[in-house]
Amino acid sequence: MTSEERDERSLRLLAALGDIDDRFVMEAACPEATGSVGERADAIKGDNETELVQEADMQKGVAVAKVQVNMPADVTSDAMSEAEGCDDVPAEKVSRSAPDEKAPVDAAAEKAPGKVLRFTPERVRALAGVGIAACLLVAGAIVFARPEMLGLNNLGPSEPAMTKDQTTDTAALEEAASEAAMPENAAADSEDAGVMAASESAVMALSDDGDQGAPLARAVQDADEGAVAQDAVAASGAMATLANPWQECASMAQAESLAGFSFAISDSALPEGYGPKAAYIQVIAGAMIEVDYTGEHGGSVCLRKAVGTDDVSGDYNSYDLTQTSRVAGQDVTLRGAENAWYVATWARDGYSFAVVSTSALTTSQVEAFVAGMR
Amino acid sequence: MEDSDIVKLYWKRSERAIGETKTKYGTFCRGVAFRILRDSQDAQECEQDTYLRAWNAMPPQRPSVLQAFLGKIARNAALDRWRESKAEKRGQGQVPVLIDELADCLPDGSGVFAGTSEVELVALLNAFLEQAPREQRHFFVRRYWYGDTVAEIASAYGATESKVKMTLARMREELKSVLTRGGVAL
Repeated sequence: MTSEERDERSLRLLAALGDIDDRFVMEAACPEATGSVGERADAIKGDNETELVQEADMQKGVAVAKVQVNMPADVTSDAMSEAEGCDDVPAEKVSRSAPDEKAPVDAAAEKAPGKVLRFTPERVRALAGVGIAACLLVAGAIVFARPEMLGLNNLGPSEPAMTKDQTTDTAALEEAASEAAMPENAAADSEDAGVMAASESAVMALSDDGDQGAPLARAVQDADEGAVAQDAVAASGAMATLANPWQECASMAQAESLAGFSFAISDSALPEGYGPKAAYIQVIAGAMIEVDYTGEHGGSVCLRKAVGTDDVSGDYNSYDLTQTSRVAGQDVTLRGAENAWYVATWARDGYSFAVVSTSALTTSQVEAFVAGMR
Repeated sequence: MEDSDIVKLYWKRSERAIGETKTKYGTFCRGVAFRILRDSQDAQECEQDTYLRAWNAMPPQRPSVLQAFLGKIARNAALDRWRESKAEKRGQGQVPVLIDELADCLPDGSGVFAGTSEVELVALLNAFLEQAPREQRHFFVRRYWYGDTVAEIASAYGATESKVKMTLARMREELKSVLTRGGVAL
């Protein structure tokens, strides 16, 4: 066996490993996974023996704070990252504010039950600092939301709100969201974080450039209305987001016009109970037409024709049987089980065709599709 | 947003589906691709590719575990990108190392896997992972599904690198015998 053959076989094994059962994948992503993300977070927190207990008795003026961290901070950080959506990137670990040592107070004094907690001048100053910072943040937000208060509406409109460098990397947006959130809000949901990122990015643009135009105003408005960060940034014209390539069409003629090729489906191609009117037609301009039919009993069948010869079924399921058979004079790749096919793909005259059905198709039904789709 | 709601958006052909997917699983998908390719830009492109493939796949598909579904798409996209980069003699990422290690699992004899269907192979892999102890299974999946390095696995599980290496070597040996017993060496 040559090294190339060996590598090819290893690669096939590596690819097959990608199709292992979902639960193994999820289990390894979230080692303590038991259910929802919240449950996972709880489980991981518990297993890491990290607990933060705060009890306050306002009447007695007693406060006891106990922090126990028995795991290295980075391990806790990783586990928490996984618990919050299993979206960690090992080489780009997010630093967290997980406590890695006892609070810098007199631990012995605080551990004594019933001990009155004294506020030293340093603590008072720290608290005052936090209060001032909070006031500044609120004031800044108010001014930001109502720029007319400072007469900012008259500033020139023309410059882009943000440079591409500032906005291209979505990771930077996420970091901005993390920074915007206070430590106690570290687990805030990502949607809020996205809005905060948009707002903060807009603030950055304002402070860096001293200029805000209509695009930025729109971005801020979007952010205020709860739009996700990328929408707001895209509105400022600074970052391209993924465009939806599909366009819904009212008729096959319109679809053919946009696609630049014809797609004929004879009525006899459809199984009994489907059609003749399509439930849905959509097109990727210049590339693909998709026609969906809904059956009388709730099933659906999706027919596609696209430029090229690649498999355009869009179906990534594993089936018991995948085989290539000669059907209606075509080499057709069938996926499913013997005489119970869910996916059929073939190429003809430079175009690729695909049939994907939610209910099993017999070989003769597939044959009707192959013969009836042009 | 709940996964089922995101899937519904895909079925309604709502463009919001992609935004919601990006918000909830964008980093995860990019992470999966990054582990394989070890290149931020390629990983980002794979992430975008994942959204497009997911859009094309739903409907007709209705995945029960959306995160795993997206992860598999991202992983496949990363492997596809690796094949392209290999052809272009560009960056190699983590794949060559994984391929080299997995060669230990190949049963003796020529034409191995040639007559084995993908489904049979995956069934054997599932059975192998099913019987493996939990921690060992995690090590194996983290290494060969997620593409984590030995050091990353050791760090994540609080184990030594030598322990992880030893565990993986034993599992590869065990997988080889499972594949051989399962008649994969056809």
